[in-house]
Amino acid sequence: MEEVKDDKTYKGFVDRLTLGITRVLENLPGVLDVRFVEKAPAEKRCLLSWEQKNNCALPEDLRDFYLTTDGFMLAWNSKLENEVVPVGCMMINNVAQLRPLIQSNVYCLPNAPTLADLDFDDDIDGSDGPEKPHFDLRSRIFELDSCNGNGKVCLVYKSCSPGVMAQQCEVWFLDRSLFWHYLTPSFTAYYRLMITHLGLPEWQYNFTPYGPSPQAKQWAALYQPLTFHSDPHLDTSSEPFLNKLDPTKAFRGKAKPPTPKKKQPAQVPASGTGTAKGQGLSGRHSVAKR
Amino acid sequence: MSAESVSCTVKSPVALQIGDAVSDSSRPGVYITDITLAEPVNIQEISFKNFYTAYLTVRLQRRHGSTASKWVTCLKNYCLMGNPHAEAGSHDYFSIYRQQMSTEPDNVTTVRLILRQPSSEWLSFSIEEINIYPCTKEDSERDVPAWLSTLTPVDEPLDLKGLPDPETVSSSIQQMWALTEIMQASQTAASIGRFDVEGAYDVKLLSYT
Repeated sequence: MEEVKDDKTYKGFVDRLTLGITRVLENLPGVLDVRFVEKAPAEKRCLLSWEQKNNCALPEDLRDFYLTTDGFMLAWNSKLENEVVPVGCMMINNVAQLRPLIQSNVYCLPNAPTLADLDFDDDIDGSDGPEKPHFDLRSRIFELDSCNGNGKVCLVYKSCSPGVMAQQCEVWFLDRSLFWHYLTPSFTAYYRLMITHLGLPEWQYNFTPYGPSPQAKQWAALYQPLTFHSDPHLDTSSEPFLNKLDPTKAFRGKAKPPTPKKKQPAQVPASGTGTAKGQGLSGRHSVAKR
Repeated sequence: MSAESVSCTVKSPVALQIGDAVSDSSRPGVYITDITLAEPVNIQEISFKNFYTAYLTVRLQRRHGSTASKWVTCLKNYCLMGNPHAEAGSHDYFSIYRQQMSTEPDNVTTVRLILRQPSSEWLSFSIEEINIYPCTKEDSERDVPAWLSTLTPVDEPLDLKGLPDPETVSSSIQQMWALTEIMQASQTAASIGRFDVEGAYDVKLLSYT
């Protein structure tokens, strides 16, 4: 009896945490192994320790999230012919994995290439969008998701000063080539985006100028038919012109009026023998004319 | 260009990553290639062949006489592939000229090429056959390029070998044109007798004629 109650409570909890997406996924065609990894809540002192260590205040929604569950992991597979292919993966790092992103100190040579080479001080061309994060002390960047190696979703604190606790943060996407792309102003909005996109591969690339790769588009077309067609990338390219075949115009028959003839009323009521006689008559007529 | 390229040393590309490189299993999307020049050069052109690089940034280290050398960005995120996921532009030859750079590429000691490829489609990307051409004073001295000097002078009279007189030919053509106009104007209204009814021939009509 207690086990049944616990199971129901657990399912309700999972439904509310994932906004009911596990149920939606299980009903999709070809979806197998919807796995939600349950995690214990983070302790309050761990959050305080993180804030003091990194000198950044966690936003209220992210703090509540970590006090509910320390990290998030939901993965699902798809059946393709006779193989099972891992497709979807929604992941949020736990507090311990929320490490600051700094350049790896592999090269210590003077004049070696650094992340400063990618930071352009003049943001004149980038003035139309929000100011992009920097790789130096002006920004504090923490990794939320590693996106299976295709970039990183980062929690970014901008306009930071040394020794001052940073308050405001945003969620940005840092792609493979270390270009920054703006995602959402808050963690809650990002969480909703992640759930809505079902954790499909490279879904974050929808917020980039180049979009996801062709393979990722195939998966999106299969499992997100409605939102995929409303993709802004498709709107920019004009709709392809389709040749329409008009069968009535192509196979139009020619209306030919019958030519009035002198002998025709005599031939119509005749039988088979009558037809033969008619031919003989026409032959005689030609002979007489000559 | 006919000028010789500068002697330079192209170093091997260095991958640039953020975060812990040991635990990070992702393939890098940024490579940086340094080109060291033997002597300070006023650059006129940088030519190379692409291999799946989507965006290129060029940074130069310039010598300022007595002061220390300074890094400047002269080309920012130059697009080599229109669509990083597609093949267009992936194997093209490119040339970056002096006019395309935002700063004067004078007294350059090192050229830093930052290669970026955001797509995960390609396993590797690079640029090859890098050549750097200096500004030559010889170009300004020459008034007319070589290919222009081979043109035929206009004032030279044409050689009419074996051809009839153009005046005679012209007058004959005009007479023929006048005759053609007369023929067009004197067309008769009478139509030639035909046995077609509404564009189709009826075989039965022919037998009664």
